[in-house]
Amino acid sequence: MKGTALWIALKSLRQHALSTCIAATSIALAGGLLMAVWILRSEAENTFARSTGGFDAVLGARGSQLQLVLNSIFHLEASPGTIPGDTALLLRRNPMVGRAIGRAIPIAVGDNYKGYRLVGTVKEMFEEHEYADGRKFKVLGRGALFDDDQKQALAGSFAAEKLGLKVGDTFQPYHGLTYVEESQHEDLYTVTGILEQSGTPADKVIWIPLKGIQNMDGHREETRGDISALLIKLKSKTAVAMLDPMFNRQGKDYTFAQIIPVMSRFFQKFGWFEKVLELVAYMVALSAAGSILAILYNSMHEKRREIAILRSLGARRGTLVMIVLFQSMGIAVAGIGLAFVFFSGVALVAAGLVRNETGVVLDLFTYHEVFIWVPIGMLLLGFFSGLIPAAKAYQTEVSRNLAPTT
Amino acid sequence: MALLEIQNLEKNYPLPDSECIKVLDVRDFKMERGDKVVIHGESGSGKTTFLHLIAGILSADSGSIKLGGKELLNMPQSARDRLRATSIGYIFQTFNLLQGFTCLENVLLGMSFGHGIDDARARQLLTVVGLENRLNHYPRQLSVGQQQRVALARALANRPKLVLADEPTGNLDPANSRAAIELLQELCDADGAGLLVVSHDMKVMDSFSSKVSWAKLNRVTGEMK
Repeated sequence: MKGTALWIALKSLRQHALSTCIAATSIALAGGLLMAVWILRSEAENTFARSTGGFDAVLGARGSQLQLVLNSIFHLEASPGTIPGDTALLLRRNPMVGRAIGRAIPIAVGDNYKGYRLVGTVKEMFEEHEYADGRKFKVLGRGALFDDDQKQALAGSFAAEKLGLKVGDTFQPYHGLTYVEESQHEDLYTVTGILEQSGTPADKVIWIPLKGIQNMDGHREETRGDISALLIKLKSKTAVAMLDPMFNRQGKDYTFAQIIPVMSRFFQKFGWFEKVLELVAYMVALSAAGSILAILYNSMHEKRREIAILRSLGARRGTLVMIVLFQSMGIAVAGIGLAFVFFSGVALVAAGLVRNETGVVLDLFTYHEVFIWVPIGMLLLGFFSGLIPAAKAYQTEVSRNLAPTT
Repeated sequence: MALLEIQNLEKNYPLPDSECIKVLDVRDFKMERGDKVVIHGESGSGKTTFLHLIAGILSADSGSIKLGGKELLNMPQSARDRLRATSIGYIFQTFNLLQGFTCLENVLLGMSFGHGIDDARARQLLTVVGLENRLNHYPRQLSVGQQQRVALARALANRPKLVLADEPTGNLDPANSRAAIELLQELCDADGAGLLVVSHDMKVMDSFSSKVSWAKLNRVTGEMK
């Protein structure tokens, strides 16, 4: 490679290492930010759409569909209220509804252990239900499911890791969904198993028998038989056309929420935020292009004599243009490398935050088309930023800059 | 065929008031292959312009410059660049080494626009000029005399037909000046290259048998056009 325009360009970039690094870093910030914005948005939407826990819909108390889905599927937000514990039975008695519903699993919420929710449910959730195609929840090692009539608990993998829970440990839950030290229940629960990581919101809660939540000391007598929601797996997606008007328009006691459409609408509400981030990234990209242009243009001014020397050695004007363009694109290539580092950092932090909040594991490192076109865009940016300095190099007057004269 | 043949060469520079000043008017100058010539004259009298015209760095307004029989003035810029890279070695008073390149790389750079790089020859030239232990040193790490020797090696790197040296000893002490001129003559002899030196240093002139007075060669009278 020695003796080529690329060699001369790289040597020159190395000679001006500080300004090269500044320009490369600024273009990397833009590229990394753009990749992070696009991948986080699309991956979050896709992952949340996939993280339905294997259910199609939720039936709960009258209220907001979004609140119902966030509470029952993603274990976020407060419950909009309770519904009678025999709701599932009543649904089954209706021949049309009974035929439409494949599985209906009750859950009850209302307590936590050090900030991690306790969710009451039935064994069917772990024994028969598939949270993804062909995948059931598994208990790790020698652990076991809870007994429906005992004060036993099955910890999600993330909750167990954060709380340091292991099989045989005991704990006393706290009342409410928010951890308040003074509101501890008397009940003592024993951990019988830890769930294998599923990458779903189930990982970040502690599962106990439905009766456990219902009968926890201090809970109101009149609502002891109630549940928070029914998680529904439909036999046919067309059943929605019947269930939605039945509960949401004709009835007044329940809210029926389809998980994926509700989450799609939820993400659409953040569209403006995504646009703002994109705009910021474009502005950073523009300023990065400006900084490459300024750095190379100023260095052209400083390097007039260097350019004149190269010309005196026989370098053609076209060779100098190539050298400058290689420099600007070299900065862009360094920026691309740094952009992936920057993106990886942002992605790791963001994925960690999402997992902490929702239990959902975002896979931000699988192939995405932005991994191709953002680097291509950065290369083009480097190329166009180098054009004006290259023109200046082209026009450099050799004789005048080979000082001193005699 | 003469190595260098110049006839009726004129160069004018524009002045701010749209007039021109003639700085160079050389009627006849010739060098044969292997000739070593020194042109002596006052500083600021147009000697550098003369060398720049021969090297094709500047364009003349009229006249003829033939290098190895090829007319420079009719050549397109790119052909002149090519001819300069392959047939001319240039040594500057301030050496003009590139600071971001090592000694070896500076010599390789001299080759890169010509016949292509030849690492062995670059090392050999630096050995001849006594810098075999300084190959990977940067110019700032060398003494002035050592920098001049790197410049000599770079000028000879492409086996040029003609070496142009513009005040090559201007920044050297007398002992180094003498040594540099002797070395330059030896290197040109070894490659059969012609050598044209411009200098106002009397000691440099003493080292050459062929001397030309710039005052006689350049017929400029300071006239305006």
